[in-house]
Amino acid sequence: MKTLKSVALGVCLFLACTVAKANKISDDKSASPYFAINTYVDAVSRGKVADLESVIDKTAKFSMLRGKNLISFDKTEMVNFANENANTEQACTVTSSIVSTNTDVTVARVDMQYDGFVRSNYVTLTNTGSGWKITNVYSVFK
Amino acid sequence: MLKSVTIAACLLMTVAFAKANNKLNDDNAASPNNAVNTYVDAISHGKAEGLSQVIDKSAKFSILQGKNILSFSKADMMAYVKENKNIDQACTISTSVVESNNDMTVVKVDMQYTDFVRSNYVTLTNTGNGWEITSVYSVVR
Repeated sequence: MKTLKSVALGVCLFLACTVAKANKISDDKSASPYFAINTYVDAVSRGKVADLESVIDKTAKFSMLRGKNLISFDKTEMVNFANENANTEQACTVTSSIVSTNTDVTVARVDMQYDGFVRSNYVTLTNTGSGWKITNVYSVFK
Repeated sequence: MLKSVTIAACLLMTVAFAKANNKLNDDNAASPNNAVNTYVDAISHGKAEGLSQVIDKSAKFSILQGKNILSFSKADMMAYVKENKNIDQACTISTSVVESNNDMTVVKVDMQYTDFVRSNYVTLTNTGNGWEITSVYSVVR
């Protein structure tokens, strides 16, 4: 009986470990907002679009201040734009910093310093049930 | 003589126009506080006045439900608030500024009901027309 018990326990443990391991990669990536931020930076500055789609929520909104108007785009438009510019290196220096972070929402600031102007992107990520995803990006040029 | 009267009249009109035009608006939109207060009044007491002015036309309202984010437009939000006009929510509100800089402000508006809390993260941006709400993300716990 004792053997059966420990065998059962062993099997359970093994199963638990295997199941946990099966999900490991995606959990690790979206368990913190950093993977999504890095993916976004790689996409906008170096045209690396590989994981971009998976880190953007389907309801995400991308907006830009033009004069007194905000122009806004949805996920499809953003992904198409990134794909069109795949592998294009932007002539800018990128600086990113976390503006604020808590269990629900993280705001990161990604500055792209070009020759003569700066594009500041405020990237909002939310801790959705399926990990951290980009839900909003607001860009200002100065 | 006529010239200086005309100039004086022009000056007076310019000043009057400038005043009529923007004073109230500018004051209200010069800081994000008015927009935040208007939003809080709308969702907690059903006071819809002034709400439309403080929300940008491209604004997005989203709520986390399970593993999905549901999202609504400005028109959806306005319709919802009008349907619930003058209804007081049975909750205690606490507001705190999460982040504030020249370009954007994030404010957390917690609505504490008896058994759960609805936290609204309200993002405001400093558009050319002053501070406007551009995004609200709500989590219910």
